[in-house]
Amino acid sequence: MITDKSSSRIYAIISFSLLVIIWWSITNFGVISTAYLPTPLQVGTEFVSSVEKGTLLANLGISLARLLGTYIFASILGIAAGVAMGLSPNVSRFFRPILSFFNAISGITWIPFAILWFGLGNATIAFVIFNSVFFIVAQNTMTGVQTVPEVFEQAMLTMGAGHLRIIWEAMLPGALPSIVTGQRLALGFGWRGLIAAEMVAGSVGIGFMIFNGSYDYRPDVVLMGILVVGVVATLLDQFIFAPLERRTIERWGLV
Amino acid sequence: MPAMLKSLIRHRTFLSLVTLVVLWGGFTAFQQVIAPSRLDPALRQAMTKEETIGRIAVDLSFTPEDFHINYLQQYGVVAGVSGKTIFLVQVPRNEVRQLSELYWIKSIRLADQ
Repeated sequence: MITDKSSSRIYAIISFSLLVIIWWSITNFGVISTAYLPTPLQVGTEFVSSVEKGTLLANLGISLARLLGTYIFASILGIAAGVAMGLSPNVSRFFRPILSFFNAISGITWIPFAILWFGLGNATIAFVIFNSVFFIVAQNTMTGVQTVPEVFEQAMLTMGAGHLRIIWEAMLPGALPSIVTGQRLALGFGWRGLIAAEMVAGSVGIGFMIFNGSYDYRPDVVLMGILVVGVVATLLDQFIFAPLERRTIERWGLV
Repeated sequence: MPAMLKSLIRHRTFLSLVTLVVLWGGFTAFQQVIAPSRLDPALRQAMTKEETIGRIAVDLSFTPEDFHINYLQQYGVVAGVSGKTIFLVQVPRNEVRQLSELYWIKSIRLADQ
């Protein structure tokens, strides 16, 4: 019996296979010159070669380390700020427009400004990731805390619980579905911000590798890098945040 | 809590992450074990006597790209590239050891002054 999940997987395999067949056909039959669009085989060969030469793993490792470090830092601050804003209606009313405004600004928009401040390098890249992550995490956390029914807080207060205990045992768990959704979105935005920032301000990293490939006139390197970016983002999302979000939503009885 | 922990440990995401970490750890450990075989005996001899090695030749099995030259720059001053070899000067001996753990380096030897 085919379940919804396995049916989705079959569709995903078919759609990607079809995409590769179309790609192979247009490059193999000369519809588009391989000087502009390399064949799947060329990209695959470049992938193997980059792993052998250490360039792919080193660049990917550096990019993931940059993302992880800044993402964790920005998430902790974002959750703390979100909880603080969610707990006080006045603070929330004051900061909500600012959060909405900064959320509307794409993380990569900060790149020129960050270069002016920090120059080229890690600080600029971290700043861009931070901006891509912090505001969305803060806004989602704030929304999550505000949706926790007030009756829980009052019940705990009646039983003599302190404010920290209320936050830890009622607010944060109650806001968790919203927080996890924010984290998931933030990871995607952070990853995109990282790649864009590395292209402009990096001298190493997967974004730089892609951008440098165009200078060397190596479309196979460029396309291989793009595919790696997509695969890594999908794996991070599907293997870590999608199950986490599903479990949280199921556990909290939201479905 | 133990039931939650059990379900977490059995979850395929957790298992996949553990497998990845184990594979990466195993690969790194293997590279550390075979690292001395990448060092030329004369270089190994020199490393027992000197804190900083004057000039070394790092042989790769492919033509170095910008990435490799920039990467090796962290370990010493790049003095030149010839074919598949990158020459480094003033490399501290512990940096030579770290270099030998990189899987894409074929061998490291003393270079002529």
